[in-house]
Amino acid sequence: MGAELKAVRTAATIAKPVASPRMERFERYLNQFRRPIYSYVLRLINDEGNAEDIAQETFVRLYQELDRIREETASAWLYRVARNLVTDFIRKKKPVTFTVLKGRGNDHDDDEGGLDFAAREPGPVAQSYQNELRRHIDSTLAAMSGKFRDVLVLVDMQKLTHEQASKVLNCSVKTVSARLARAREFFTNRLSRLVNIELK
Amino acid sequence: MEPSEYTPLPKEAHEYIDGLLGSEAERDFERRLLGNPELKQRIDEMQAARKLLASVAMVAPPADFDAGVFER
Repeated sequence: MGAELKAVRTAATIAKPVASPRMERFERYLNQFRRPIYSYVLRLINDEGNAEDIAQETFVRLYQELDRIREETASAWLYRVARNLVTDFIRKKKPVTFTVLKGRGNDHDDDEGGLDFAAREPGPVAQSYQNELRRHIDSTLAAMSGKFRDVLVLVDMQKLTHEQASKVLNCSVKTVSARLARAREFFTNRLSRLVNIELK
Repeated sequence: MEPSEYTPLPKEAHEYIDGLLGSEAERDFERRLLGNPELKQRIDEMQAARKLLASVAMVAPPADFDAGVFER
């Protein structure tokens, strides 16, 4: 099936300017969800190489199932498949615990308007302030049990709705809301022990 | 996660944070917050923590990510 995708892509490239509506739809999803799905998988397994592999496989499966996926459920479908692939990966490999992403760059570093986070205990001099904060966030997430971390990552990091998260996690919206409430309170309380959270 | 590590906020507070209250209920809740600075402080901190979470959410995939998809 991957060969088919490659062939279609190649044909579409050669035969420009006409690309099939199916391929156009696929590429639209790829453009929209490439970064979120990769980030989500990386957050779950903290392994760049395998995260890339799993995220790519997610999109191959999307291509295979594209005709059966409705527009409004595509987002939840992608996250669910990615999560299932992560689960399979963890089962086949060793037990992978949620671990800390240390000092990874990202393109949202400037998206903290209105916040002032001052570390109570200064980290190593050489470590940037931002990396220190990121480390605290990751360690706080790592301290949470999976079912609570799942909803927090999906809703507050990946910005899924409660309904979308319920579809990804195969549970009720009520369960998502209840777990999210506990997860947020734990996360905020634990993080506030590590950093000062002040609103300007 | 230990239950003892958190003190539950009222359900309405989470609905407020998620923007799930209707406009009238939201206004009522905000009026009540004016009289409850402790609750307002906790909500503000939770909002700030969420914003911080979102700020580290996205990581750019490798530049050849798409090529890898089409090669599979």
